[in-house]
Amino acid sequence: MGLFTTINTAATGLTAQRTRLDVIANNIANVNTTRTTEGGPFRRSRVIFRPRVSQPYWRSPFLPAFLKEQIGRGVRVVNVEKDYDGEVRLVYDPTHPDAIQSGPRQGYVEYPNVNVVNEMVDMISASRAYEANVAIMNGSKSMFLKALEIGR
Amino acid sequence: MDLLSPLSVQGHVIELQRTDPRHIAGSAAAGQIPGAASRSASTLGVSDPASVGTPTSGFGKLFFDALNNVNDLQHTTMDLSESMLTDPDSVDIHDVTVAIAEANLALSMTKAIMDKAIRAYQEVINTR
Amino acid sequence: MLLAGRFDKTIDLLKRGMDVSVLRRNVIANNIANAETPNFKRTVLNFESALKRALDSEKVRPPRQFVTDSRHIPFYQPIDYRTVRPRLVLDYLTTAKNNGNNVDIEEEGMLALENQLLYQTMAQAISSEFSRVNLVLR
Repeated sequence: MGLFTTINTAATGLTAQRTRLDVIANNIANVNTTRTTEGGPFRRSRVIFRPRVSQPYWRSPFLPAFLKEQIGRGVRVVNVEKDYDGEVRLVYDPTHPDAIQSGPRQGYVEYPNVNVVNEMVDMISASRAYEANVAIMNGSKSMFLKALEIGR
Repeated sequence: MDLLSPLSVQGHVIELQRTDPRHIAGSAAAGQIPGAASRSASTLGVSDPASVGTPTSGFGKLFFDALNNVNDLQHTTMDLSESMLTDPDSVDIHDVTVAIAEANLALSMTKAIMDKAIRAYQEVINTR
Repeated sequence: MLLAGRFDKTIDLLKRGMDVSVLRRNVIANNIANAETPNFKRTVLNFESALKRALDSEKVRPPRQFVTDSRHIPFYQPIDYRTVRPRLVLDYLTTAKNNGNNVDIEEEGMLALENQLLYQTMAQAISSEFSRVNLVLR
């Protein structure tokens, strides 16, 4: 354990928040995409985070090593998945080339389920977390330089 | 009857009885198997042939212990520097710098004391 | 070390404080990195209160004990400060956000700053201890 471990942990946080920011930027850019290669309108993506542990997942509870608490090693991006929970927005526009041709919703155009306000709030919290991680790294660097002056 | 100080009384410390190496012990040192403990203790009884000629009492012993201490500090410093190179995550930076400062301090203090002692000896020898 | 008395103990205490400070910085960095992970609970490191208890126990003068055999159980034994170890505690008592995460980024940032300043102060104190003795030796 040392200051280098701290810097690694903060770096995992930086990577995770940057991934989140990329996904948010993609969502905002595609806010009006009515047709994608899969057929339907664009679906917003979201990032799944998990804490990163350094031990293998299963340890026997009877071993003495299990009883020693472990300090975590940061965060891991597990998956970037499409969010099929939200309702698509429907706008009535029969002249649109992507309007539904037949059925009960004839004439409606499906717009993506991206809410720009939610995405902006997520972006603010991601950048704030990013700055906090950068502050940790800067502080560790100052501590290291101060410890080097001990014998001088 | 004589009174014992609280630090030398051990009635509340109970040794774990391990009869098999697969038994779980509290710490590696406390749980020695009785046979293995006697085997490791027997090697300590063998005297080191290099230390036969060292003084066993008095001022000489004091100097010898001090020099051994300084030597140990230098070795600690070198070991820490080596592990800092091979595995930077295992050793903290302040451990290394404090060990270096301690080794320097011990060495310069020993040098100062030896200088004073030698000068005092020379003054006594040269007394007319 | 040739010096007796409190020099060794001061250096040892300061070094232990710095070790724990680095461990605590790792814990804080882990909390901040996981500030957006759902159902993550922050951890804290407890050390200073246990160390204070151990150091205070050395200052107490107990009543006279009449123990005559080494197998007696002593009335009072001071705690050796070298046996005190840091302890990780999971903090599940503070209120959590909607995604189950109870990390407060501003508070973690403040703890990190305090930790950094304490570490730098301890490094300065050790440095002064050594230079004070070096001053006499010159």
